[in-house]
Amino acid sequence: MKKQKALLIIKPDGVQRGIIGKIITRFEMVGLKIIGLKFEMATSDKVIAHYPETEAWFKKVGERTLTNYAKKGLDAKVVFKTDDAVSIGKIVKGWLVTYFQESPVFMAVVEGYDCIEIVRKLSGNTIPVLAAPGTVRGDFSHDTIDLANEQNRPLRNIIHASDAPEDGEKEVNLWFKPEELFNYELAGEKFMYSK
Amino acid sequence: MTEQTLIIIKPDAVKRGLVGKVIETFENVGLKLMSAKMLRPDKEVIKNHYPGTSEWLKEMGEKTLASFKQSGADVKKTFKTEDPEKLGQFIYERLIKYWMEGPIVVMVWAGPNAVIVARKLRGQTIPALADAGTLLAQFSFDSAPLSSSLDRVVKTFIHASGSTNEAQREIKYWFGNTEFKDYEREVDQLYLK
Repeated sequence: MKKQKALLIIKPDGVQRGIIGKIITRFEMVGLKIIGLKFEMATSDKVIAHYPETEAWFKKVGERTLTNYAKKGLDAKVVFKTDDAVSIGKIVKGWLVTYFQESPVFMAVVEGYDCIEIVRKLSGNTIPVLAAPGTVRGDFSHDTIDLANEQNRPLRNIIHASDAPEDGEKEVNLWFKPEELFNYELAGEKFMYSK
Repeated sequence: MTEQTLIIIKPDAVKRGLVGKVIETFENVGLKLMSAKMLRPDKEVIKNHYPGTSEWLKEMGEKTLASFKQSGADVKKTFKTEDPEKLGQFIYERLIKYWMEGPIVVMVWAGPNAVIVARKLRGQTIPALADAGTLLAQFSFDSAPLSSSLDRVVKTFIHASGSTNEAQREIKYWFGNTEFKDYEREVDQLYLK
């Protein structure tokens, strides 16, 4: 079995509320290894590249937004001046870029077996109100889609965690150079993996 | 009022998975993280982190002498010398070896009295003498006699600048002339405005 890498980004709401350490500890506790780390302002180029710049992605995000608005009986056209899913997806992406740059962000590359599934599990549902207790989002946030829509901003959900093995590789390569990643053995590693 | 200090998480703390705990300690007190990076510097880079002057070597040697005296161990038996500067040179070399055991995390923290506050939270570098509640007291049982019996330095696992001058020099050393982007923390409104 091969180890996987995942990118974690503690976003500005996590940074500004002073909970970086508490969040990072959770990933260290399960035995994931931090092999790279930095704290800096994300450039617009990087944030734009971080989210897929494809028609399909814009459409998916736009349709999700339209569905959420419809459910609440809100008129998307009032906010977005359009009801075209792709155009709305692009506007939402713009919000995400702004959100990412409200403060520097804390980025860590973690490594371990089934790492992607583990970071997803520990991070919790991306909609804070649906995230289970014991997860980062469940324990540290309570933002809702309704509120975010009302304020014309993206959900503030504290952490980004890679969603699939391909995403993990892609995101790590986007934010980190190979020489910024390190190989070493954790103090408890042989107790975790040796037979 | 606001000053900056340099904190380094050394290899043993990284390997023990204490990065989050160390960050949390400084975050909880209200200090603001300005920059951080993981790296594995080569020997020369570590060496030049320290002043390395004769005066500094002597000071290091004196510290070792004091800690041996306190524990009743015989310095001469271990190091074949009692000369502070020679002792300092010994320690310096072992210190560099310690720093090379794995990657480190270098950080800049800012806040009112950041240097003193961070030093206090870290605690005395002889763990047995560190006040309860400090990082050194919570996470280490190391001592000078133990470490020298194993031909190594006391693993102090956190470096925190000793003075504002030292902090300025060290921040410049590790980060060059980088301008750190200021941002608002949740405590700013309560204490800094």
